[in-house]
Amino acid sequence: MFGKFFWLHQPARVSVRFFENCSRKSFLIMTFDQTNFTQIDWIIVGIYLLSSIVIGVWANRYVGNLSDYLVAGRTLRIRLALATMTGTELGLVTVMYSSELGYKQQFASLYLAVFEFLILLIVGLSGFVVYRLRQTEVMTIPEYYQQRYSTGVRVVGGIMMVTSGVLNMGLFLKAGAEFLAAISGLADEFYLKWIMTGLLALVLFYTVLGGMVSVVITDLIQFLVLGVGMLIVTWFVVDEIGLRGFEQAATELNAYVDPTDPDNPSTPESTDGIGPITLLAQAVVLFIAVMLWPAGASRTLSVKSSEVAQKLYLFSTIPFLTRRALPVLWGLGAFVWFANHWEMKYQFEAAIANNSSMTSLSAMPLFLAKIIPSGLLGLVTAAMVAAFMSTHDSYLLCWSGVVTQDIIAPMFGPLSQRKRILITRIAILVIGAMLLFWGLWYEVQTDLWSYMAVTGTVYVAGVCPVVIGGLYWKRGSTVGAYLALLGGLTGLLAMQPLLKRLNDIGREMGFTFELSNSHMMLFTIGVSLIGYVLGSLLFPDGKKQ
Amino acid sequence: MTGWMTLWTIVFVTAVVGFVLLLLLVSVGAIRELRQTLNELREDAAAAAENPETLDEAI
Repeated sequence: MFGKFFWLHQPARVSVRFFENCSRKSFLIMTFDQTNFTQIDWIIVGIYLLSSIVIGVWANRYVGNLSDYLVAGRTLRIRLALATMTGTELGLVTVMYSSELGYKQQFASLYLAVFEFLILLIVGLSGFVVYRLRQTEVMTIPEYYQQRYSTGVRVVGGIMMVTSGVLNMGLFLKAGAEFLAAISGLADEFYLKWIMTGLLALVLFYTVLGGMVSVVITDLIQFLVLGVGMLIVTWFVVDEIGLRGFEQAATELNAYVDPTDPDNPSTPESTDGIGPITLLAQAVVLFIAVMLWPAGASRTLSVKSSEVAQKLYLFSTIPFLTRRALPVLWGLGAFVWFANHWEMKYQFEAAIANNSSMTSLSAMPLFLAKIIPSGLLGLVTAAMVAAFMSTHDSYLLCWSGVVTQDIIAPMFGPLSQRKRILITRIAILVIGAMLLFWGLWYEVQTDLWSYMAVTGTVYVAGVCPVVIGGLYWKRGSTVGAYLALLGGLTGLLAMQPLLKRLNDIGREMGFTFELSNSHMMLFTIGVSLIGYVLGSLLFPDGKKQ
Repeated sequence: MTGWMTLWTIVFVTAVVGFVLLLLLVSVGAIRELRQTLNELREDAAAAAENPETLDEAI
């Protein structure tokens, strides 16, 4: 089909030597031999990275005060806001976990894209939460806690937000490293770690210098590079698999199609599917996260008016649908491709089983490295590096802004703008160092999306009643807010090691029921909600109300 | 099965077509908006440079 017009398009073939090797190392060596990634691709990626340094230095001149540094002086109009919102939310980590779900759960994993699309549509049409939140003129969500409840709630809310956020971001580096290793064939973990450290250092450099101003400029460029890159990848995937391949997935390959069915037919296990409980848990978490996830909310708070904030959500329906649907398509393409190259699939699964540092996350980039020609592969990698950077910069700025504005400043008295900018810059560096440490040693024992949903729940469970109750329920009180925020800590029990321990205890006590991530996520949200309502009714704020 | 596959096909097509349109929409006007934003920020930066003491006032 169309891809054949590219004279460079020479899909790699599996050599005899490949089948002779079973270990992960030899798998990677053979993949390295066969990848289309060459020096020209490294040069393209390098040029792109250098441009980010230049922008960081240049943007610094536009930072006049704290508002400029944290929310770009609230000057964003709709197109620019849309570009930076998409750049932030369409990160490499999103691409990786969505394609992993596409590979493991095929069509059924698209339910997340549909949920998110519908939620954004409802918020965009009604202005629910975002309109009123922008009207409050706050710069961060915990600042709203102080405006509505008390300084103490602001500090506790800030700590909860940063804890959840940094944990949530902890595996971004690892996902990025796995993508780069698989697509470039770079087998040496030592060099890989240094490359990832270098990428993070680059993001830290331009974010520390220019704050939100450089984030917005780089996000715009990253949005354009990423957009073109995603369309190129989709073109090649459809060309390689063909409509016949996707049809084959649904019929001959037993792909998972119906998400309400708890059994995934593409695997031998009987209860590893999605099912009603997971659907419910994900719908609730996504509903809250779409409106109140701090990085997204910082865009809501950076736009010129409440009307623009509402419009931003309506226009974001498409990029949010795309950010999940296209990577799922690529993961699905990898599923079909591996099924049609069964020897390769056998080797890939053996590599996953033999070595924990290779996971199902690698399926999509391995597949892309085979079907996209050199030169274009560099552009695609630059696009994914752009996705990596645009999420990191916004998240780093967001969490460090909260550290300064909502934890340090309320606790240690009034601070000048100059000091606040300095503290924010230091916080960016500290969080960057923590990410590096966490990303290097934490082993993922579940799929990446589950990890992110669980860590995100620690925050979203608390923020939901506190913000929505604060905006729409007059009786919401400070005690209720404390209970709701601290109730979010229950979500840590959904982390895989703790959940396993919990289930072990249950078995020892004779229970046959097995708790899952989804149960604990719903439980956490319930605890926070009940805490807020009971706390508010039993301990009202009195005259302040 | 057919109903689900119809839904997933619509999702894929909407995602691709919608994203192309979005890229065009943003590409057309985003540079102009960026210029406007930078001009406003430049005024802020100039004001801060003229009155540097405001940056040292505790807030």
